Amino acid sequence: MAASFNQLPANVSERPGFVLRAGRAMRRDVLALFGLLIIVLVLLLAVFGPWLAPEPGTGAGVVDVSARMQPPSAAHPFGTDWLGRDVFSRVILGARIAIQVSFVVVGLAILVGVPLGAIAGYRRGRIDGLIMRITDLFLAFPPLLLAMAIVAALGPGLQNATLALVISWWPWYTRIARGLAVSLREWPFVDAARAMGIRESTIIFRHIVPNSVGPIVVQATIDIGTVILAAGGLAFIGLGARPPAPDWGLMVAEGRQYILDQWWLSTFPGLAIFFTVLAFNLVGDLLLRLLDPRQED
Amino acid sequence: MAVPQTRPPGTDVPEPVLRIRDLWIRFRTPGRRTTAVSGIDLEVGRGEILGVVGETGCGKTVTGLSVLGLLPETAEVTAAELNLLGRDLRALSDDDWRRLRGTDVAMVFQNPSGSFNPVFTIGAQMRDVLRQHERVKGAAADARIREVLTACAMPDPDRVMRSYPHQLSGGMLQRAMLGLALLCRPRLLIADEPTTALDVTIAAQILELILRLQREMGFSVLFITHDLGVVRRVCGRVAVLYAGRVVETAPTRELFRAPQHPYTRGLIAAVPRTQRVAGALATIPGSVPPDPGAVEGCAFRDRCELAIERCARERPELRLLGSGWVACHVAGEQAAGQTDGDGQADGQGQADGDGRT
Amino acid sequence: MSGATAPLVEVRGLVKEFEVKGHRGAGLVRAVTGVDLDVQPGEALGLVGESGSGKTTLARSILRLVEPTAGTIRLEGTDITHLGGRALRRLRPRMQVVFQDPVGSLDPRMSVFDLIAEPLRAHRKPSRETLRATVDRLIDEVGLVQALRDRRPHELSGGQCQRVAIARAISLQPRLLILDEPTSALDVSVQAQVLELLVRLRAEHDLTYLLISHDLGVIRYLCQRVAVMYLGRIVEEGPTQTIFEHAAHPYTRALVLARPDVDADGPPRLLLSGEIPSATAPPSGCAFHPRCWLREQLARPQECQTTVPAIDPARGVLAACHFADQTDERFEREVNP
Repeated sequence: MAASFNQLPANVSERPGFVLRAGRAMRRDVLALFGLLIIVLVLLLAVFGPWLAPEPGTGAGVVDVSARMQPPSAAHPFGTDWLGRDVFSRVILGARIAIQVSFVVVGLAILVGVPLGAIAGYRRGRIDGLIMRITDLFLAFPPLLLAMAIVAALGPGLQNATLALVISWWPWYTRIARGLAVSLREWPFVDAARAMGIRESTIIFRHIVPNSVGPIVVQATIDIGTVILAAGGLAFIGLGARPPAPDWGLMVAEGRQYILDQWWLSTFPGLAIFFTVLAFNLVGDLLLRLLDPRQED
Repeated sequence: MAVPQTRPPGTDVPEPVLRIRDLWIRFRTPGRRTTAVSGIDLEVGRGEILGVVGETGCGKTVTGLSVLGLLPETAEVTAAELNLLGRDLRALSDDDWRRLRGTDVAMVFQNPSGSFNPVFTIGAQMRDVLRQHERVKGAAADARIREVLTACAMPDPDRVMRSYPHQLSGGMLQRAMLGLALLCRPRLLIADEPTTALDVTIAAQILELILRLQREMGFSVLFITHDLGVVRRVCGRVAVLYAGRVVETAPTRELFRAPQHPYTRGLIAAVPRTQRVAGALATIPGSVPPDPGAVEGCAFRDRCELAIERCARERPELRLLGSGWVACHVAGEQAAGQTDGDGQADGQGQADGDGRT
Repeated sequence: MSGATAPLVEVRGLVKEFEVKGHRGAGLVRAVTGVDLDVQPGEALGLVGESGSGKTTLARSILRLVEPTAGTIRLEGTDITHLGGRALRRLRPRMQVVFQDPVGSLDPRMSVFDLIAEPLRAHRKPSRETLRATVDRLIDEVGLVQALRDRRPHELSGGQCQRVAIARAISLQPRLLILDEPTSALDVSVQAQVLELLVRLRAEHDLTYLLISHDLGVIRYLCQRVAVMYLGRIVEEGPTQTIFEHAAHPYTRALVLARPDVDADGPPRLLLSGEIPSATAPPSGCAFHPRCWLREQLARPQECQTTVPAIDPARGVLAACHFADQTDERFEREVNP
């Protein structure tokens, strides 16, 4: 009895789903698994921080001068600072700020940058030239100088620092999206869509952008870490979060003057930054590896 | 299992250039294990052009690559015999392979532009090969290169030597690739779809060139292709592959005059002709099984009109039938399935009264 | 050429140039030079040629995926040469296309159902039930099982993908279906199945085919009329049987004989020498003259190099060759010296 030609043929594999492959990949790559666990931890802290921190008030200005400058102990695992605030609680609370800032920055950068890049890459010609020139303009601004300019204009604070970071970041996504659009538009399925009479805007947003997701997600994941670092840096030089916010970068800066004797003040927030950024980088790498072979198929 | 010879017993032939017995090639990737080749027997004699023909997934390319040791690390190659010019290929070191490639055996591929490094001239790349294998340099090397390019019918060898790959047309690049492969006079040339990517009038030239070079230089050819017309034109003997197994092997003339395996018959009948043919095109129903290595019995049985109960149980081995070998339980045993002298099987609901001119 | 029914597609004087940035600076390359072509309703017209012949550019021009540099294209009488925007979109349902790359012509992120439904959603906006019923019917019609409905292209074979592409192409009930090498990327046995499908669909839906292929067996099987192109021009046009058996143009004869025959032994009866010319450096006069066996036999008449021959179907000149009337007898001499 002849089989129908509707079977899957030999050269096309029944590829297991993404989650399965991801799981398998992580079993082999311990570092990536480690990274994922850290990310989950940080996200949990970001969401549930105020309930998990032993002394949530320390993030909002509650002080206890009698317990100032105590080294790490059972009662205060990360010690206390010069105002007697529990560093452990402040680090936990800081997760929320870090995640908020980084997600907002990366999210907005994608929302602004990707459509611009996709349009530029698909349309080519004058629109492409115009968009890319504007993009290059913004790329030319060093993020630090830009932040300082915005702060000088609008005043210091976390919100303005976030704004400065968004303005610095969106051009990168335009570049990526444009490159992807330029190569995707050559594919026959784009020709097919044109021959079907699909509108150009529909082609860009239903065909080009969804097929650009892979590299953009990879970049975004790594960028979350980079933005946390940048925000921390801005806070360090006084252009970001203001005291008494439990922002990690700010905490590192504030603890600088005490670093020789009260090392715990800068070290623990510093380690928080370090491990968070590392975790996002590792997972970003994993995503890169998982997504690429699929495109080769 | 008795080791079959691919020639009828009694023929006195010298040692073949390539002998493959019971070759299995599996690929192990995390979570998956696929069998690309499940027990292939092949032999290429001296000065012979053996055609290896089949469709996607039949294992022909992978077999060719195994002779050059060019399979990826995920490949597991096992064979009862894998012998090139008397050397056992199953246990070669990297150094051994490097010495072998280009000198004893060489390969030309389907995509000529992909085989050359785009940032070096053709001449430079050919000089590299000569320097590596035969320690020939300078004017002597150039003379050799010029000689082989002239043999490959290049109108202006010096210009070609100075050119970069992107400056040459597809046909010229393919000639250059042949030249590169034949530079050190290999005994075996493996050609993997050498004309598939070329225009038809250029492909015709390249095929004639390969035939001429083979006549003049006497090397053997393992000619891998999916195109039956090319096989008929170029090859003296043919092995038909299906789902990682050899289903039929015979001298070309015999194979086309009287194909024995149902798949071979179906394949020949499915090619649209340039002569007028009445009736519908013969099709083979179904498609290649998803995991040929796991199929019990004959891999073709699901698509075969002549399949019997035995076909599902027992894998058919190659057996002598006429002047060729067939792996089929049913072939040769029914008179009704015989051809009418033009390679087309009747009784399959097509091309009756072939309106051939 | 019958003047009784108006042609479905009418191409007059089509020229398409591209800008090319070569090593010696930018320049214009003519992919198509002065092509006149009619596609009659209900017929299957084959377009053959090798690299650089312009057949793909011609098809893309008719489809208006590119805009012609000069000349006109009429679809069912409407001039679509410079049409754009909404007006062009409205006409699109009348002509559809199937491409060479079965997997690449399908958006990798879409399911079979969505792929086939896309044109319907874009042009007809049917209700959910109607859409579902129509797509299911199309899936059946091209010989696929419903179970494949949710699969993505990379989970299908080449043959299955091409069937999806065909289902999508006929979903809007076009008059004209342009097929650009529809089976070149498929195995022989799969190709046979798809060709059978195409034959059946044409009959059932009264479709007109413009089939581009380099495989003359496929052309012979599907087409009633054939146009042969060389370096941007149509060099011969005629009924399939004539083209294959008594072509008037020396290139056509060589092209037909170049493909190795599955049914016969021996070298090709005609072997062309030389390379296919590039549009960046076209030969003077007749583009084929450097490789032309007829010209050699006739001791290289000057005309071949100086004057471009043209076909003129209205006047019965169906081959672009100065000496087309001698092809037949000279051919015998060429193959039996």
